[in-house]
Amino acid sequence: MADESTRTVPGVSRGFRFGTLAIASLYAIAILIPIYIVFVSSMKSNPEIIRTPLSLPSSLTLDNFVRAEQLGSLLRAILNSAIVVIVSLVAAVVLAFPAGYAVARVAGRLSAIVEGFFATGFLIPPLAVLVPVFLTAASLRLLNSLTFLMLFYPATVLPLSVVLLAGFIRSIPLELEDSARVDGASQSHIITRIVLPLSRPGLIVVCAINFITLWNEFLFALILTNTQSRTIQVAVGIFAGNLRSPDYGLIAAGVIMSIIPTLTAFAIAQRWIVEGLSAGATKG
Amino acid sequence: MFYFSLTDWTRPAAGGSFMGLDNYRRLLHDDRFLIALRNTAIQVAISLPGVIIGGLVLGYVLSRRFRGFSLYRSVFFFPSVMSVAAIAVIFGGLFSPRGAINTLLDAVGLGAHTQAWLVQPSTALPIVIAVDFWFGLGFYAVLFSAALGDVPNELHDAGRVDGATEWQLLWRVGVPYIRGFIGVAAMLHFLWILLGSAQNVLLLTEGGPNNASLTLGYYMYQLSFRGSQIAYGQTVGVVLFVTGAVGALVIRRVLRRQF
Repeated sequence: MADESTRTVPGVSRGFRFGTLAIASLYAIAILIPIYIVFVSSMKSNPEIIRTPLSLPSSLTLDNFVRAEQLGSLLRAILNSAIVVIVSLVAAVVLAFPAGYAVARVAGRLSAIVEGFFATGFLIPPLAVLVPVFLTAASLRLLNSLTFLMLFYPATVLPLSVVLLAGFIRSIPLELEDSARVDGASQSHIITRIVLPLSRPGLIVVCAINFITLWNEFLFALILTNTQSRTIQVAVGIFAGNLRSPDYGLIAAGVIMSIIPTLTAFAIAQRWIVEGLSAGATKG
Repeated sequence: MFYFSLTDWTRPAAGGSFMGLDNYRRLLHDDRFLIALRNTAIQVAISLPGVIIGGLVLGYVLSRRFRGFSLYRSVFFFPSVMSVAAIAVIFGGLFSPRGAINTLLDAVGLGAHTQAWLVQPSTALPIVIAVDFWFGLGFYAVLFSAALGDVPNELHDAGRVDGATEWQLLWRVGVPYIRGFIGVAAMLHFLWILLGSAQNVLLLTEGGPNNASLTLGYYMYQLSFRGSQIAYGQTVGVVLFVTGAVGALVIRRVLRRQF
């Protein structure tokens, strides 16, 4: 775990400190301005957005959000996303926890090979397996239904989940398990009563990362769903195609609605997400 | 994928028969493939070193833990929790004919430079690449700052005693120390450029105008799902796969973990 306390660095020149702060600030502004524009646009009328994109809304109205729901049937898409993501999250954790435990606690070559297998698994880019997955869905007659996404999504997040959980379980002292074993506890008892409760922070991190990944997933959802079953990201993506004669306010409202859930997850688990991803990248 | 590339499969339900290397022969005479290959090469040449080196510099700044650095870290990471769809819509909106960029150019008296950015051959690909930088710099900065935080303080102190400047500390001490980590990051970003970025092409420009922003990844997608040429699309996919594997090996060689 990184040390969070501020470390004063002696002997750093003022010029360097000022220069680096300027670079960092410039980039931060480049990130924030587009997001700011979307945010204020979601509460402005279309002529106002086009005339003065940077200004604050002249009157506070949630009109765009109400219309976004009506026109894009965004609510339906959000509901679809919620169903798919929640089912996938549960499935992924139920599968990844035992696997992570096995990888962490079983000694020997086989376990190392399995971990290496998972560690490379999350480097596979979605586009590379798009067509085979599409053909699989077609042959199972599960195109355009949420069922296939629920079966498929857990598999995509499983590798990173297993690697992160294994790392977490390793940090739990083995002595705890040994002493319980001496007291006559069975293996399943040890896992459910000792390891599982102690893994809770790890499970939360994995769920937060998986939530952000799956809520944001666009490519598979695009080719595997239709108007009825499309997810929020597909609905938002369709806006991109309508930018020629755009209703900016409506689009901004849709984007904001799609971001809020991941933003919340990020706010809750941000520190662990960064550390978890760094640890994952170091292993891979 | 390899098998598909040897057939004449067109639509999902059609099935295909074996036809050897015909699809590969077709590649060599396909102008769009060559354009896509060139555009992808341009994107790799700019985005890969640009984002990784820029990310290193910003990551180093973050790792100095100046006052308020954690706020900067959150802002830097923010685009990475946004979906490609949301990012593409935001960029599409900013660069649309009546979007914020043109309005702002007008406002500061540069009205002559306003244009339809996304349907202009000279600006379509740069915008796709700009998206890489917009989210990538921050993402890798945060990862690199975490890795640079593991560099023992003694190494920095020793360097400082020897009179090294801050920049020398980054390039002579920090970078060699996290070499392996940089390699992994470079590989991730390379794969993103080859494959992930196709989503931005799809959402922002659809490869247009006149193939100006056509990349290999998007070409594969287009052939498979818009053009009903699954087998030929998979042939492009094989080229992508081989490029990715070779590129990954090169990156591994250059930035190998050194013990």
